[in-house]
Amino acid sequence: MDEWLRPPLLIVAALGVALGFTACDNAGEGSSVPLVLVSNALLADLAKEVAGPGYEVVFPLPSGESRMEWAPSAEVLAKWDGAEIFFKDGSPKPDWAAALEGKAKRVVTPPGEFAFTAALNHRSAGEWVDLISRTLADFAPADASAIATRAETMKQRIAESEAQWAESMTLLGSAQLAGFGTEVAAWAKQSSLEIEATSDLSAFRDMVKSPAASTVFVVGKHDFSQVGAALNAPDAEVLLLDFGLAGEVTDFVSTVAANAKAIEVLLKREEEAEASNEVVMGSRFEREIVPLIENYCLDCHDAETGEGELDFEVYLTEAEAIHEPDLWDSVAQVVEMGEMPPRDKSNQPSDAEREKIIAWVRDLGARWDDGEMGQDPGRTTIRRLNKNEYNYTIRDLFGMRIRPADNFPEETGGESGFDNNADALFLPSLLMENYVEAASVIVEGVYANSKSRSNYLFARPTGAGGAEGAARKTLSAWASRAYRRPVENEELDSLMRIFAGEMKAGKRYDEAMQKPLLAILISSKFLYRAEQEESSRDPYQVDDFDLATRLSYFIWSSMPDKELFGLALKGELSKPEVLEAQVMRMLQDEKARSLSMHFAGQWFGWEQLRSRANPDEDRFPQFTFDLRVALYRESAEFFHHLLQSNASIFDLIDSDYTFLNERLVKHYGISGVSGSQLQKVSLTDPNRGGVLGMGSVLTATSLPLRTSPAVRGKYVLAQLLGTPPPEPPMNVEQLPDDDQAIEAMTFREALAQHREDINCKACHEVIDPIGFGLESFDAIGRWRTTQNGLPLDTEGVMPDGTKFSSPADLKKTILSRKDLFTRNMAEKLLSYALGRDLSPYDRPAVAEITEKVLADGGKIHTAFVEVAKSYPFRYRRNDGFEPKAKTSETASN
Amino acid sequence: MKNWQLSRRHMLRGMGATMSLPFLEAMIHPGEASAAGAAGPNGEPVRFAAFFMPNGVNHEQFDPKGSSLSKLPPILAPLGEMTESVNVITGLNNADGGHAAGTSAFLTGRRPKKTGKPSEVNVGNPSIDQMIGQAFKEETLLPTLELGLSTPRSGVGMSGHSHVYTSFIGWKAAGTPVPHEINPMRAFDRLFKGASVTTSGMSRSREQKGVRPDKSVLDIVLEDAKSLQKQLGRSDQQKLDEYLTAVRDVEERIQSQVQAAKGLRITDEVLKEIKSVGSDIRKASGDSRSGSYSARPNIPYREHGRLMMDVMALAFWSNSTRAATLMFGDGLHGRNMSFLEGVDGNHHSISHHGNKKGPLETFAKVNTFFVDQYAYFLRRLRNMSEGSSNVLENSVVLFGSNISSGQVHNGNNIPVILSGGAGGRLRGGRHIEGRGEEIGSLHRSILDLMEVKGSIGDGSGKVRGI
Repeated sequence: MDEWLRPPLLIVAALGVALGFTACDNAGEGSSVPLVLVSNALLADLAKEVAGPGYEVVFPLPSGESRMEWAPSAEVLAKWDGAEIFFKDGSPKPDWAAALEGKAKRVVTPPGEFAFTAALNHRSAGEWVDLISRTLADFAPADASAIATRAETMKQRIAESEAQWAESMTLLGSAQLAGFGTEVAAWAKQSSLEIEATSDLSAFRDMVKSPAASTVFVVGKHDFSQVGAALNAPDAEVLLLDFGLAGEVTDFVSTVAANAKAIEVLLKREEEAEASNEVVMGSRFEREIVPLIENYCLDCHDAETGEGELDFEVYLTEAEAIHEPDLWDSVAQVVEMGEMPPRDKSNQPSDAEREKIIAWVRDLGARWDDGEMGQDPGRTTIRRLNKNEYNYTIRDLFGMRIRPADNFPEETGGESGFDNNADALFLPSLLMENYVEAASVIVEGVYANSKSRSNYLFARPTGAGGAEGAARKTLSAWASRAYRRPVENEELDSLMRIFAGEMKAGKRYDEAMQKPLLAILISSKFLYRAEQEESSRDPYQVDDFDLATRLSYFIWSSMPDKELFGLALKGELSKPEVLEAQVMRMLQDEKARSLSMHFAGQWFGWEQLRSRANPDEDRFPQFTFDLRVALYRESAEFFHHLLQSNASIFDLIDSDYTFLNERLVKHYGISGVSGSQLQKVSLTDPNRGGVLGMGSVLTATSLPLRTSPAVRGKYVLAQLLGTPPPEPPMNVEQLPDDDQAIEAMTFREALAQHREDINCKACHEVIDPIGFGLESFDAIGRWRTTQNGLPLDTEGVMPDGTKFSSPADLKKTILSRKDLFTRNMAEKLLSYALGRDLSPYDRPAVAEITEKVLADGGKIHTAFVEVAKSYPFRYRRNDGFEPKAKTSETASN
Repeated sequence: MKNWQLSRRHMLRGMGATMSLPFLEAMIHPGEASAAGAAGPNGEPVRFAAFFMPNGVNHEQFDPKGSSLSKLPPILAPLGEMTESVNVITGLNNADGGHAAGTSAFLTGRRPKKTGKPSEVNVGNPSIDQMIGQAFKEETLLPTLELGLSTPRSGVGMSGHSHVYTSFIGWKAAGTPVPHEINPMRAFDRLFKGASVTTSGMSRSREQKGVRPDKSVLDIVLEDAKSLQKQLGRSDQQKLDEYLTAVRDVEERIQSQVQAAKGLRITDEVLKEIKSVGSDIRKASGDSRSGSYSARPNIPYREHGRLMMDVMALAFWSNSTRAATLMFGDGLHGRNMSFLEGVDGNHHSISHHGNKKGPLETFAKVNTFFVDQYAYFLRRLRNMSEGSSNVLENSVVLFGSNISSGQVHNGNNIPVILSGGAGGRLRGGRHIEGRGEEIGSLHRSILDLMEVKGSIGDGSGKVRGI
């Protein structure tokens, strides 16, 4: 299957082709029907359509001849003797047109030039049609009514094409346009479109190579070869244009022919692709699913209405549909939940029909999981060290206990919510100032302490190589560590230039070594993780140093240690057994605490205790800073324990232990711990264990003054099971923020009333009942049995109908979907490890990690080992690589 | 123009004041500013500040009736004592709506590209504060000052826009947001660390002892990055471009500091205020036990905002910058507002008032709080004397939101207040009724007031009356 066909192909057909015009050639010899001459090819086409078969309508120019240069012989001109009518438009005419005037019995010369300009003046085309039909009717009154009918048809087609043109222009307006040739630029000016145009072929090829997703290539009439180039551009839509690009219509015929050919090629390729899809996939989608979509979905989700910004019309072929597995997953979800079609629609699919859709989506997912759609390790953008990584890297580079990055601005994050997403790590000037300041502070720190100073300046200028030799040795070692790979000569030379400048300025050796270190610390090679780029068209393994770096920032949020560097130097790290052993070693290192804080903290939400979580101080005076810190530490310690002991990831859902100190024990209403030290405590209350029993998570999923069953319900679906419910509409009223503001009903009753709102109902009927199961915990995670003075009703129900009435029951229910939780963990972990959002091409890796972890009873080390061994973690690719689906032989079923 | 320079030089000579600057190794002698751009009656520079209030407003209690401000609606009441410096503008449309898109459209005047991917964020053009900052960067210590009260968000908003859009109003370039400082101590230090005065005039602060990068270091670092850039793929180049730009900015800052410092205006009055604000901030920041457990300073919200505005006002008074912004919160601000009398709940939930009477009242109280904060800043500027007038007279101070009202998430008719005298070019006391002009029209008018060239937003219209 051809990959280039994947994006919807937009062909704005030239008007001539859309109307079914054909290029006309010489008139037939010895014709007995009236002869009509027309000075303009386009006009001739119009006239031909209007006149019908009873006339010989001729644009008297042989194909391929230039109108301006053609000087027909008297013999040729004689062919047109006895013409009845000559339509001569107002465009500048060469001599032959004048010569023809004498040959026609009647010359019609309306003012103005008939040409399709950029604006495509269809109204004037309509006027021409009128003129032609009037003239012909005059000539042969008997034909008048037939001619009038044809003229009407013609005008209608013109109007349609005008509408089509207008639509195309609207589409174009929102696309990014790139074009070739000066004509394109001129045309753009007239049409008020912004087109990046170039007349430099290599520049155009560059544009073609890296199109933005919505780039449309506008290709001028002379540039048919570039059409071919554009066609090979992935993700680019192709627009062919002919009219209006040229000021004249001399080679109208060849232009139309070229366009027709281009469109033919496109259509043929599309057909081929579809045909090959049929072989690969069969057309089960078209047979079984498309009719259901047309019946139940298209009313709202079509191009016109586009409810929820979803237009199914573009997914009505299997070739288009299969590339959006994420979209279909959400379709299956809402169909399964019964959210769609909306309940107030009478036209509802039967259970069997719903199952058909769900089954198809499941099979599509399986095809992706099996790697049938092709292999693509993805590509993480060059990645800046984030705040945390910077702190830890400085710690490990110099062995200093300082956290210079605490003063840096907070980072944002990507779609999956982790702040190590390469694309979201911007480098504003303020941050660069911070880096410079921090570098200064660090160098000062290194020099302030005699131990760290001699550690840095390990080579002394008194040795054989003198000052320069010592400097070279020192800087080579430190730059290699800082850049996380052996320093290259050029890099070292740069640093030595700084050193030499300092020596020349009269500084002593030790002082002269300060600025080179400063340069290392603000170097792009230190601040960014740039991986070795190989010149390969196919994906390739990352080299061992890059693998060491990937591994250490994944597990430690910091630079590789000596052991990892050593293995990379020997080229052994990429051996699977070595890699696996290293992951196990690293996970049990104290440095792996970064995972508990940053990976798990951002996934499960205890990170929010550092920022957003803000229980009301008056309502919850117990929520002191000490409690905040203690709750955070409980969660982080719990996760750290899982890593240390290779426990099961399902302990995160339910466990009979946690880590508490005196403050937390009091908060949770249990006893037996004193002091501020966290201790592992066995829990007797089955409601408490796992993240859903943690005050950190319960606080982060509450509002300042009350709990929110909706937020907690969504948390279970999204954060734990990886099946987020659809987002609410924007214009909804919220419940009072304070449950005490609701009089004479329980909060649950109020919520039930709120759910009556048609906007809210479909989703909240699914989400809230999950949250009810957690209502026994208040907004800061304490146990309660009443709310607002009334007894709590904690009966809940899962989307699949399973009922529960306590947090303990809810956890059991979640554990019945270990597959979902495990897969969610695999996705989160892989996204965190790669520093990017996942794409469908990561599905095979996710599926494999999930399978291995499930098979291993949920051992947490297995999850990390499998991520480290996964294809996207060990491989990379260059820009422009396009994965290829497996061939039909291997993939057909 | 001459008057002001003379009088200031006179003052400085008498004072012998100096500030130590973050990057500066050399001593600085404050001297003359090469005043470019718009100027007050005596050549005072005109500054621009923008305040961002998230989640819209209760229009019933915000929109003034009639064309004057003689009768102020309840939300605008805090501006009462200085309506002569204030214009309320209604009927302006943001370039996009929604919590995310509306936030980054607020100062760019353009509809941001709809995407959840940070790699694709695009706001069309730099924000107005950055454009102004760039225009005066040669003569200011800091081209721009970005302050905020909440940490940025991760993930994707309900509308499908990346929360990068929700988190920032400042954009250095179409794809590069500018983060803001949320810690008042750090904001203060960046401007005034080591500010000191002695009878002899100069003192060198501790911070300057360490080794600093100079041009030679930065040049080598730049060279190195450029050679790295050549080895990288296309998708990485934008990131490296950010790096190169940032290093060049730092380089420029170092180089222009001596010149920029000449534009500083540190009278003993200003110095006294610097010291007083510094001590306020230290007091409010309290002990630092929060350490790494807290990503944001543990200061009550109202005070936090006021300390930030103190720093901002001082940055203007000392002529350290010409463009400053403050985000009272990100575009989806959900802070607990229960510290306000008669208010329970968080800002975002309260903004979803359902057009019901009670919740609308509560929402109005929250809105009033933000206008009151804004009024604090205006008062602060008004009390800072400058030449024959005050800093407010020589400033343009914008206040606005991402959306119209919490219930309706579109950007039509967003609340806008424009205060300050722009050096005598902007008349106050008016309710300017727009006719659906886009916010970009206002930005173009502001650029005119500031005498800054450049194009911003879609189209070319201006707001009539400004």
